[in-house]
Amino acid sequence: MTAGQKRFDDWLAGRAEQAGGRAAFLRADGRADESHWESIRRNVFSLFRDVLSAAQKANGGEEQAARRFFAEKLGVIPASWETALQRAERQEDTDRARIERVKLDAAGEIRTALAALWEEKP
Amino acid sequence: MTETQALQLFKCLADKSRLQILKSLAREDLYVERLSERLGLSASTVSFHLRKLTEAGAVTAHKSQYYTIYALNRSLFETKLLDVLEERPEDWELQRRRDEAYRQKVLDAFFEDGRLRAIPAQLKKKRIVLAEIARAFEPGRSYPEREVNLILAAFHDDFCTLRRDLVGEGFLTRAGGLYQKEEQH
Repeated sequence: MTAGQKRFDDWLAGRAEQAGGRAAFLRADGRADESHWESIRRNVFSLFRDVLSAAQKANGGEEQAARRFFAEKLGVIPASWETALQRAERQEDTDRARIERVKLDAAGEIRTALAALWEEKP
Repeated sequence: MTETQALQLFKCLADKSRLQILKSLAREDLYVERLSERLGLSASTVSFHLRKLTEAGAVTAHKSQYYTIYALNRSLFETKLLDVLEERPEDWELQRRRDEAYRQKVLDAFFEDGRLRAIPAQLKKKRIVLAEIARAFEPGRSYPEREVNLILAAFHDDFCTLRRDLVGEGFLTRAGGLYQKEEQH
């Protein structure tokens, strides 16, 4: 794992842990919906941590290939969330729409961090 | 308020953020950004909760210049909880049919050719049996004890226990040595 990959992986792990902690706090505070959204955010960060691990395994030590693999998944996976969001909005399903937005927001954060952290020189 | 509406409202209220929004709106009508600042929640989170509260009928919205102002639906919160509980359930007819089927099962088990096989030990079964026996009495008419005993003896040899139970469970009243059937039975 390169230094950039390590930084990015640590960031994903940290965001997942943070979201998990916040979900537990909100649940204990009687805010079920907000807690649920944080759990979903945690799941998104964990999911892309797994994608990163798969990208490394599938591409051996080839950093640029691993990055392309990861970036491609970061485009494909949220595309289905976008479709689900549009469907939920058409059906005026407030809960579903909010959940899809939470997933898309988390994916957006990952996209920003990918550019900032992976290629950042120490 | 229907059962479905009550369920939607109670589910909606079981959330601290939504309760805080309602408390704020109880003080004054507000728009999303002001609620967001006051409660330390993001505007999108406040909007989400307001939409849920509006769907549940707890909050109303109206436009004022550029803003959508939210207000507490005070008439909803003036509803007494007991009124909600006393609303006829949506599956009332089904419940009534189940109750009737149970009643018939008890009567079939305890009566044979119009005679009581035994006085039920279980109170809920006993009440069903007593209600059936009470039908032998006319409402508003006074019965001397002897006549009551004669009527009850047709059901069971232990008519004294039946008579006491009918009074004890409120099916008959006794005053001045005369018995009367309670109107609601």
